Amino acid sequence: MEESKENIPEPERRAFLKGAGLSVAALMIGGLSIERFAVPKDRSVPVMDNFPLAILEDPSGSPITVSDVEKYAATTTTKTTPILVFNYPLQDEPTFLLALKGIKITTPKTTPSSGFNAVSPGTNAPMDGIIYDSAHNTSIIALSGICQHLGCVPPFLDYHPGQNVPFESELVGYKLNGTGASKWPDYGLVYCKCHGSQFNPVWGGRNLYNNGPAASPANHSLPQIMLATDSNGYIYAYGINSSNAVIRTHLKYPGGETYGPGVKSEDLTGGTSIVKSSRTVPSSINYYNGTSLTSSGPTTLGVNQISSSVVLYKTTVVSNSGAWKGSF
Amino acid sequence: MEGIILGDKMDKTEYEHNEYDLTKLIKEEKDLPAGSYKIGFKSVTSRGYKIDEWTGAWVATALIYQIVSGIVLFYYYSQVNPYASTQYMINNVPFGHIILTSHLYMAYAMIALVYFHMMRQWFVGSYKGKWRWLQWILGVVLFLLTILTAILGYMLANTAIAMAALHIGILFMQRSVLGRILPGALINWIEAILVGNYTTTATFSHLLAFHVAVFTVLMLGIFAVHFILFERSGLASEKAEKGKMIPWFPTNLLYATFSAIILVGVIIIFSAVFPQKLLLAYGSLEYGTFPVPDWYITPIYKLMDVAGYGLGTGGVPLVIAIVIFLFLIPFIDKYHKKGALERPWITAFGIYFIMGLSVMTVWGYSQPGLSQTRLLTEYMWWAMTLVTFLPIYAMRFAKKDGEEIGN
Amino acid sequence: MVKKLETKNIIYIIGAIQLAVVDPVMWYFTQVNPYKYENAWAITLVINLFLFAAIVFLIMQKTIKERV
Repeated sequence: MEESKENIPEPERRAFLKGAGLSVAALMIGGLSIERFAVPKDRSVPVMDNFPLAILEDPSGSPITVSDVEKYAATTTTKTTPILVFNYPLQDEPTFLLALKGIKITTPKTTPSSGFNAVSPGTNAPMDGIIYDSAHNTSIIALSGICQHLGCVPPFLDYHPGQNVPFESELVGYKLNGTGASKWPDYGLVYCKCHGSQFNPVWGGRNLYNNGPAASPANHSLPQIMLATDSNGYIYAYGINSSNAVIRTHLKYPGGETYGPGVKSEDLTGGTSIVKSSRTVPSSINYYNGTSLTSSGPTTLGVNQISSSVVLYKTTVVSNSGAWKGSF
Repeated sequence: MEGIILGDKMDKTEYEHNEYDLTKLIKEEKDLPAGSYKIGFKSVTSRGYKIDEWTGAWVATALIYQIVSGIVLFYYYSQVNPYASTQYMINNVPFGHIILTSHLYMAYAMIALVYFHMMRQWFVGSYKGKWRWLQWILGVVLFLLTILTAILGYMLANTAIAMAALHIGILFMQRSVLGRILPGALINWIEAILVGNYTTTATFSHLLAFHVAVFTVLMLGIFAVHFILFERSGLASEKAEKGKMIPWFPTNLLYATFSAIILVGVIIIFSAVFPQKLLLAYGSLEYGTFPVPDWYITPIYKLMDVAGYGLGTGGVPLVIAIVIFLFLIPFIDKYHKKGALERPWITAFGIYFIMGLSVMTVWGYSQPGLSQTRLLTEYMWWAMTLVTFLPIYAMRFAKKDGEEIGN
Repeated sequence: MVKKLETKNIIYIIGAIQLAVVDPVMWYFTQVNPYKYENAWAITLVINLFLFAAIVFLIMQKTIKERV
């Protein structure tokens, strides 16, 4: 049987097809506006207003103290040291807790440009945001565990102390007792095994290390998380060093590679907030502000000034071995 | 140009002409008696039962097996507790371990078979004529979808290495050429499609939807068209001959069933003998771990290290160029004959492709994430170019010589 | 003089209305104040679909007359 549409004269049929095509196109163009569906309402909405004040706890829920952490301190002769990690400022955002014995991490006069001993310890004040125990000459520093290159996290991004050259660093030319560029630094490096980025924890907040035999593919330092203590020796994280970089996954694009004031106001979106603590807020916390030890509430960031209205959060320090064994 | 160099004449061409008029595709074949229905698929000659004509059938078998085993796994997967639910499948679900393992191994087999299928058509030159050009292009799309679906499936277990891959992927979109060329809002949108608001549950719900629904349905749909085009164009290697055609039913059906059973059987035996070990969970801390991804990712991973000029300027454009080349092969290949030696540079490039892929896979597996010096990588690329192009052209000249002596 | 509109011109006019009126309204609802006009958006989507159905009906007119 012959189709009746065959009877429609040719010019009109063509016009009909054009009309139908126009209509379908219009329908699709209109329908495309549903693209909003792909973006949840709470995307790009901060889960926290600013960097939380968080007390560091062990997996059993009791606060850890400076002396607890110092038990894990690495020296220049350390071969292995447990990885200590806590989530900050959001969940799933690991941060390294590193204790280095025998060195005072100081505020550099200038940005280190060469060599692995550019910041000579001793003359300057301890770097802001670290905990320095002068009695044991030990520095405790927290560095974001999210690699500044492409976001690898522990255990692929890992701290290897002075006597521990990872296999992959050896392949690019590092040697345990090398000289010049091939020397594995005295306190080792935070080394990313995904793509070979290197960070020197001894340099504090400006830790990007490009002085070895192979350059770091990352172009920023690991952000430094600010630490403080109280009279009990408990450890608090309270923000991020604004002279440093933004946490890699918090970059805003375009032009997200911000230093300076942009860092403290970076938005805390994309994730889950850490948990609130039921403990009371300490009346004062002691922290280094770059020149001296002070206790009158950190105002340098404009956030979390200590007062009774501050909300205290908690975060758990976990390790690959020992009493704090767990996963972040 | 090649025609002039090789001394081929246009009338010597062995290729059918490409068909570009899509309306012809809709017209029913005319070789059936009026009023009769067509049962089964195209009949072929005995040439069609040679083993190398069945590479596509194996890939199709793998796809069907993945869907069936995937549905079974879907009953037990939870995007709220991805790692724990995977462990539950292994430990508590009857036959769970073997089904999960076979899903993994069949994915490996599927990717390997897709490569095999692709390279076979590459060397035989069956991507030209009739609808074969379109079939090839859809095949490349299927190839990309297969790899993407595999990567998503590998992420679903929330292992440390998988999450590293996810983070790298997200940051890569923002930071590589893509993120720098495309507007930020578009990248943000693509990211939202992939991970939602980036909480664990949202991320795995999105990845799961892509893995089990979006990409799979796309793959099935495109596969259907790919297969219909094959039915329309027929085998590239044979001409239909009256009286020599073997009907589709039952020979072809039995043959297909038989080859499918063998493939599935081999995979299940491997799954039973070498059950999969679940990798380190995301968030675990372990000293001295290495970021070694699945083998089908390592070549790209290593390529980024050894392209020699950094990610944005070396690795990414190189990968994009390779994909574009794959899409355009039917039009780039201007040779008029089909044999592998009749198309020397295409064949040489195919061998180069295989060699590069294997070298990158093994190298990426043994030394993941290690930047290589530019000199070393340049040596490697040039050495590979030499050992592929030189013998192929030498063999071609030898063949030509032989033919001339024979004449 | 009243000239009777040809069917094909009616089709074009409807298509143009879809493109020039309904589509911008749909986009306005999702982009300018997201999440606020979702119900209104759904209604405009249906209007768009009905206009498309009307075009299909106009095209099929002759066929329908002959067959039904």
